[in-house]
Amino acid sequence: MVSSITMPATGANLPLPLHAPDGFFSMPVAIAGYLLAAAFIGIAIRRANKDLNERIVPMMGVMAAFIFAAQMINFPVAGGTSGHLIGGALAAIILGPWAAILVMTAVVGMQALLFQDGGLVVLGINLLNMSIASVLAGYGVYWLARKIGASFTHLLIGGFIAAWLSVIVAAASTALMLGLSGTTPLALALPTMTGVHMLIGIGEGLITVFALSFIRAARPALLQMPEKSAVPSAAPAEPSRSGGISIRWWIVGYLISLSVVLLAPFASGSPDGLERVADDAGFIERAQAAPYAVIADYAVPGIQNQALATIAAGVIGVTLIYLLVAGGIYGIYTLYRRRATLQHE
Amino acid sequence: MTAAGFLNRYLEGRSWFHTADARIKLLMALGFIFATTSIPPGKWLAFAAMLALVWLAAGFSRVGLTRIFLRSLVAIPFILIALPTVFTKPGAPLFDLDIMLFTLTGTREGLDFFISVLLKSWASVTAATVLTATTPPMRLLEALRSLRIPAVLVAIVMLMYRYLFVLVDEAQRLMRARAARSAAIGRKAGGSIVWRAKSAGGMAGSLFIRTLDRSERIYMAMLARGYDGNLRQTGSPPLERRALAFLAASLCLCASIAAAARLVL
Amino acid sequence: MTSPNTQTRAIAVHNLEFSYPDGRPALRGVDLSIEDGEKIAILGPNGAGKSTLLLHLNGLLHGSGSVAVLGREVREGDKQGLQEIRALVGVVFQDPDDQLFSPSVYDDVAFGPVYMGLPDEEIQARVSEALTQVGLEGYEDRMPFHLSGGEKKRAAIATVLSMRPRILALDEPSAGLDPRARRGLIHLLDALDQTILVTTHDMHMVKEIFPRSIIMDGGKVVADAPTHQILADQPLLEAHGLELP
Repeated sequence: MVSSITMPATGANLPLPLHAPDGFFSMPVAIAGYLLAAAFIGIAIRRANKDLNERIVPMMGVMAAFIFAAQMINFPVAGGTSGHLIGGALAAIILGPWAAILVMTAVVGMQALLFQDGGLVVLGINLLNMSIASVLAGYGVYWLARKIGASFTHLLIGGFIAAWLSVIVAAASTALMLGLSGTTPLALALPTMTGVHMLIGIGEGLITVFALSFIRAARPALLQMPEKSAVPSAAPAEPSRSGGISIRWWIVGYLISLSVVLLAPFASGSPDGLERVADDAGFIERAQAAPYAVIADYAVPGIQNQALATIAAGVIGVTLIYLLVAGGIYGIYTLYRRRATLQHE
Repeated sequence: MTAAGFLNRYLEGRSWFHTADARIKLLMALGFIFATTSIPPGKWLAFAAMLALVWLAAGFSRVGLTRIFLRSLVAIPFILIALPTVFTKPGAPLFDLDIMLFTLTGTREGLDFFISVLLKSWASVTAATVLTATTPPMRLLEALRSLRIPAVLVAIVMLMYRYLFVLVDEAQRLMRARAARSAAIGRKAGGSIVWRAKSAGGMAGSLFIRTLDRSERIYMAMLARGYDGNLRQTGSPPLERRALAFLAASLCLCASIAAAARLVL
Repeated sequence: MTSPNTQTRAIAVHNLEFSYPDGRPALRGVDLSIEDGEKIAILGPNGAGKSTLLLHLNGLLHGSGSVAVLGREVREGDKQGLQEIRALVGVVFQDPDDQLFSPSVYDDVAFGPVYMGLPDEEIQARVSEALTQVGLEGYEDRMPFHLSGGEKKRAAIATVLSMRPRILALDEPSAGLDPRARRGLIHLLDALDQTILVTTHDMHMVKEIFPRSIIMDGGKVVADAPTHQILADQPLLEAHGLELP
């Protein structure tokens, strides 16, 4: 993981923190990534359409260009490395979660398509990590902070933790997918990736907080209502009656994620599916017979088999991330409903 | 360097690749990457075939193999993430590595897997690089329509591409101004990390506010010309039969290499 | 004005008042009457309400009072009517980077005609006609970002000419142009036969091609007379922060 690399052809600093290239994820994980990302983006389009009406294209388009440009604003940290904004949490805070998902989708998608910053077949995964999980986690935290208190301090602390966590969630989710793909052992990837990004996240948090305080000084109205998008809607938003996210969505999403976890170890290894099943049928004997080469410190205690350990860690990881994301969505949903009923009265 | 300079990955040329329909090229690249990604580790013949295909394409594109090669290295740093697999994948021990107190044992299977991931991602990035080097960005974005991407998203991306240049220019102006100021103070980086983050955050904030105002003006300019929120676009021309046949043939080739890798090799 | 017949009048604004959402008043009772084919300059200091007035002419903003364009009332919420009025009144914004929002010059000039629902051949014909009018033949595939300042301005004008408007309203058309680009723009505006309304600080241009001038200040029209008279009235110009050419 590098926080930024120098592009050989141009010499310009372009962000490349979590943009995984093609080849690092197994096919089932990549396809599941596409399906999940498409589902979330579909919801985001519907929600943002409701909020922004005809403004959606000019607003989201220019804001996506803004995030892209803002990612170039770097600041030297130490030893020749520099930190820069990723922007998921900042976008979520100033635009609202749905608009932010669309903006980040445009950013990550264009980086992959036009600049080889992230792969094309693994785009679904990168979108899920950077445009969806990161935005929703960041927004969830920010929303919670603003629920607790409406002061400027709450805004700043909430904004910092939101930005910090948004980076960590993106990293954890990337690690999870790498683990599921068998590219790197989850027991190693998860602590390493989250650890590194706990540091990178501090830079993200700082820039986000300072950007927020600048915006608050220049245009206080933009940050008054955390649940509202920055732009006053042309027409009063239609209260959503049936548009709520039903519990079915969560269950479907959770099942898809889980099935990915369970399928991954079979699909990602060297032999093809059938061979692998045959392989695993006698795995315990083989495991003991074969000279196992696990890095000493990372042997998962209590679970003998690598595949089992991966599955177990994957299930736990998916469940955690899912609860986080689902919690965020539920929070937003109840908020929308409350607003809708308020408008009705 | 101006924003336009490094934002443009397109290289002028007159090859078949330059004139081919962007939709065909995009689908070919996607098919190639799908096939390459699905080759199991250690199937060296299949990887060699894929690499031969993509470098043949790079040669035909006539934009300079060195340039394609340099750009194709962009994903290399990421390979570090797969390195531990060399030691963690169960299999026949190949070599030992003594690091301080403990010994890592690299396995045959682990090394195969690692090299396979490296080859997969390199071949994929090369394919994507040939695609962007021979296709004007606009044509690529238009090609998204043929992939059934929601029209709103395509419209957002189009507008984003237009204003990328304007905003990257603005961001670079802000950074130049910062550089000029800190040089005047005499401290190259200027202040503590927090101070630096503050100035970066302030720049992001002011860029945001300018952007927000701009989006409102653009919205007005769109309304002024009859925009009503419904997306209308002139239809894209139908694909030529020969181009379609070529696409089908190349996808078949990629698929059969991937299938052979699993079944025969 | 002598002609009471509003049907022939290009623009008739009566007692127009408008405040921004934050309560700041921008227009305080503007009356304005413009005949078909007139070329008029609106002068005045920044913040006088000039640009705000332009945005009322095609219903981008709505205040109290009335605005009529070629005999049609501009009414808020009247979607069909507004679409028709926006095809009649071409508004060109000050910053061409706001006006040129498409990735290519062709798409930008075609945008208006596409939303007018014209058939494809007609759209293509109008795009090349408009580009020829502004002297940008062959610029169809260029990216707006890569155009020079003067070219951007011309392209921005082409984006409304392709809708074949009867009235052109331009906000600061000559601002930020180098002398040669400015000269080209003056020739272009002079050659167009539409009713033209510009806001500007460029007194040389006003003197050259706009026979009638209006001075706005504090949201009101404070003077409305033939340009030579306005430019001869030194105290009036000074009172409203304007400089003689």
